[in-house]
Amino acid sequence: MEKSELRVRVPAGTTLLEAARAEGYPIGTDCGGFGKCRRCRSLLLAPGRRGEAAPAPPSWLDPPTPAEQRQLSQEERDAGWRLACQVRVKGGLTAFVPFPEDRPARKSIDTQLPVRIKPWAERSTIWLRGKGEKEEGVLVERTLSALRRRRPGLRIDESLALRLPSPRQGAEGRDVPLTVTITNGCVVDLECEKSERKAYGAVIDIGTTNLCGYLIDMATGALAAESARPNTQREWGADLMTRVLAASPAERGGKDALARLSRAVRRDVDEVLTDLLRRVRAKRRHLIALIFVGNSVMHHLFLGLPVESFGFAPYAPLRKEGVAFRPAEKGIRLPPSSRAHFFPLLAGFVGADAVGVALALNLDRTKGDRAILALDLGTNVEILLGIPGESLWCASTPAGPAFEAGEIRCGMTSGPGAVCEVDVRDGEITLRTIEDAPPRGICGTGLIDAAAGLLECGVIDPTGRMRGAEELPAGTPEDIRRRIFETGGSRKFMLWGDASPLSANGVYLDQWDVRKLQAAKAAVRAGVGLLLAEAGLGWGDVGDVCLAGAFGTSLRPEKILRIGLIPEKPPEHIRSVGNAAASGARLALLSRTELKRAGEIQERVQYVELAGRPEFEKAFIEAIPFPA
Amino acid sequence: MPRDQELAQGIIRGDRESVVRLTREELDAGREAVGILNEGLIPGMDVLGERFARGEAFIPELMAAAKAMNAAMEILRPLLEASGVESLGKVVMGTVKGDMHDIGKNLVCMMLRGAGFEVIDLGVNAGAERFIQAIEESGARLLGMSALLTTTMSRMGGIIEEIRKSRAGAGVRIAVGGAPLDLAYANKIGADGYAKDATVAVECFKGLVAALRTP
Ligand code: B12
Ligand code: FES
Repeated sequence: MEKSELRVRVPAGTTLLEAARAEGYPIGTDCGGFGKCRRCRSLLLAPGRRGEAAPAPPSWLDPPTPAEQRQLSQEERDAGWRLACQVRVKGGLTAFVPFPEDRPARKSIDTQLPVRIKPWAERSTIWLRGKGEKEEGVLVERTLSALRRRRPGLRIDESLALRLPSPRQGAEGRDVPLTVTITNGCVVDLECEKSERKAYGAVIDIGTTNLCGYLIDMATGALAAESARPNTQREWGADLMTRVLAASPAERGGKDALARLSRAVRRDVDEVLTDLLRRVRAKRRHLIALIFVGNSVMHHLFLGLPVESFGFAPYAPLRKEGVAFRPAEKGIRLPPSSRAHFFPLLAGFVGADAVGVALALNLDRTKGDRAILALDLGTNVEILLGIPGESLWCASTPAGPAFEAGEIRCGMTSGPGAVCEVDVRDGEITLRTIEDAPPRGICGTGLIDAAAGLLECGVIDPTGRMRGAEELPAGTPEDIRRRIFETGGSRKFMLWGDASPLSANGVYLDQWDVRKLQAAKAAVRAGVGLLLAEAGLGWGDVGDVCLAGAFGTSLRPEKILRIGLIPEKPPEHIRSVGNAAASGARLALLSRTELKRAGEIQERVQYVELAGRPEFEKAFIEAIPFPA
Repeated sequence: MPRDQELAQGIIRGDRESVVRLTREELDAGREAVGILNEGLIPGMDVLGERFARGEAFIPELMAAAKAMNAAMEILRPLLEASGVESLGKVVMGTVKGDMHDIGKNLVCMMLRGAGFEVIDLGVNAGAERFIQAIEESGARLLGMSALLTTTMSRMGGIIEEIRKSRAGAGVRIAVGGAPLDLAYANKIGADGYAKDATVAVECFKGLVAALRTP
């Protein structure tokens, strides 16, 4: 069976999407199964041999829903295309699914960032000379007093007494090893043995779509393992606002709405941790410290705090300060001795991940004479600005899902076969796809590249309009001309393959895709402009531009300049910084001072609220056209 | 008439200056206001509206055209009124409570004004009370409501219900819009009309006017 061909039993009354999910074969969605994105489109065929399969007979299926009529053209529907989130199947058939859910993209953490290791949680072995103690616990008592002598003010966790190990009797005159875990100045764990095992810390980045975990060796700061998985909450909807709604008892959610979404993400965290520990064959007990980052909504949902306030102006979080907690209390299978911190939030839509970025890039202590601008490009774009003289500013601007190729006609996440690079040179188009697999769709970087390339060869004019073949300047190569076509009321440009709906393998750019990209880049550009103005700076005062996040990693500076995502700048000043949120969290895992700094960043940052600012509209509209 | 084409082109290009100049020149030449509107300006807007619907024109172009249209209407309105051409109707318009998005709504307002409606714009973050108060004060029988967030959209139904229950709000025709909505949702929450973009919105309100006249 081919990978994208799917055979599942679909119980009566369930959609294909639900059935596939239940069978552990998730189909990709952008809109969370609400019939709004078309990513779940699937070709339903009556069983037959490959190549001769016919569209499934209508009697086996419910008629297309209004959502399907909107999202799929008549040609596509005639050929047997349906939306998996809508269609309920009655008979046995084969579904060809062009976009199964992709593996979460790898986001690289920077473990080279310099840090003086001074952890707030450490595990070390000490040796005590046995005095032939007979009584249980005496040795432990002695250990604790010895420790206290060495470190005045050291506290003992109350729950430790309940969990004290029974020591092997300290033989007279022999040295006995004891391994102590001290977290935040408090003894939280004691093992009556010498531990060969390392102590680990973990950075957990909870994203709306995926979770990433990084296991860090607490002694060296090295990366020991990494793991990622999709966020189960996506079943309640793809974007944050749908999640907010789903977790609000008064709205869609029902009484235990919040609890259900909390439980889902906590279970995901637990699985990521289990996987990380399995990879290095470590025990749960050896994971002594964790730092969590994520956007504000994920922060609240994970901690179990109500999220209604994010849904309505002024879109504020219930709680902004950093939170220290025991993972065990959040249903994570770790011993009570493991301790965790969730980074503070900067605003409703500038979350704990932004604090990580600021730490990693030292934005609160920007040196030199020019400011540093950091952009975390996603559905919601966090903008951070570090100005020399220790001033730090932030804002959030909503780009919509275009940068992740969401709601783009042939859009897909950056899985195998996603067109990720497009170059147009001398009228010749070259594509590169992820893993060099045959093109299946286009991802965010591909979208930006395609727009940049088509602007360059005149297929897209500076207003963003796609020109018809006959309007193209004389001398435009025939190969470019013949790729322009029109169906379903809008112009399109074929990047690869042919446009036959049954073939499912044409990858094209639609006029509306260009419009969505324009809205996204205008939101960023307007947000950056307003933030700079508020901070009293101009574009000339900005030195480096750092692009954070999985998406930022693969962007090419010339391309983002070509579409005007940011104003002119020498490309060498634009750099990718990977998963800077996690890189910053790692620093705080390894150093008390850095953890404290996370709190200071929250206290000091100046947040610029874009909502309710009349200048935004003007800046946004002015930023919609492309640079000529 | 080539002058009409020039007017229409001016609108399509969003060239406010030339639209204003041409409007004045036509009036000076003794042309009636209704003629300039129906044969020059509106056909221009129709062409642009159609391009907008296909994605060939976008927000800046539509905004510029609407501004040019409004500038011409400033000149024509007193003349139209004097010659007994009534405004198409009063519309109370606002973005619902909890929502701060108004670019789309502003565009709808401009297009409605350009088409000859009188618009009372409540801005953003408007709850049922403000809508009801505005209807009371203005006597408007048409109301438009915008929401750009899934969350605020989910409260539109409640606001509509409250408006309908109020004394002033009974019988008012309500249209809704904004990116997360669709026709099915608009029907579900009891709205009388829905439009996916600003040009369709004009048609939608014209339809509601007709519905008001034939109860
Ligand atoms: C501009 C914008 C903003 C601006 C708004 C400025 C303003 N004065 O309006 C600002 C920056 C303030 C803003 C804020 C927020 N935004 Co915002 N924003 C957008 C953006 C980029 C464009 C919206 C827009 O103006 N479109 C252009 C207009 C012309 O289109 P339109 O509004 O759809 O209107 C047309 C039709 O819908 C229709 N219409 C509209 N109203 C009506 C009314 C009637 C009666 C009728 C008939 C028709 C009609 O006609 C219009 C013209 O054709 C979108 C993303 C995108 N790419 O679309 C996100 C978006 C709407 N925002 C979103 C969010 C979540 C927010 C925030 C709450 C959180 C955030 N940061 O992301 C914040 C809150 C503030 C904060 N502290 O961060 C989300 C909503 C997601 C959802 N499903 O609910 C979006 C979709 C982006 C995303 N996916 O993340 N935002
Ligand atoms: S998941 Fe089916 S249309 Fe979005």
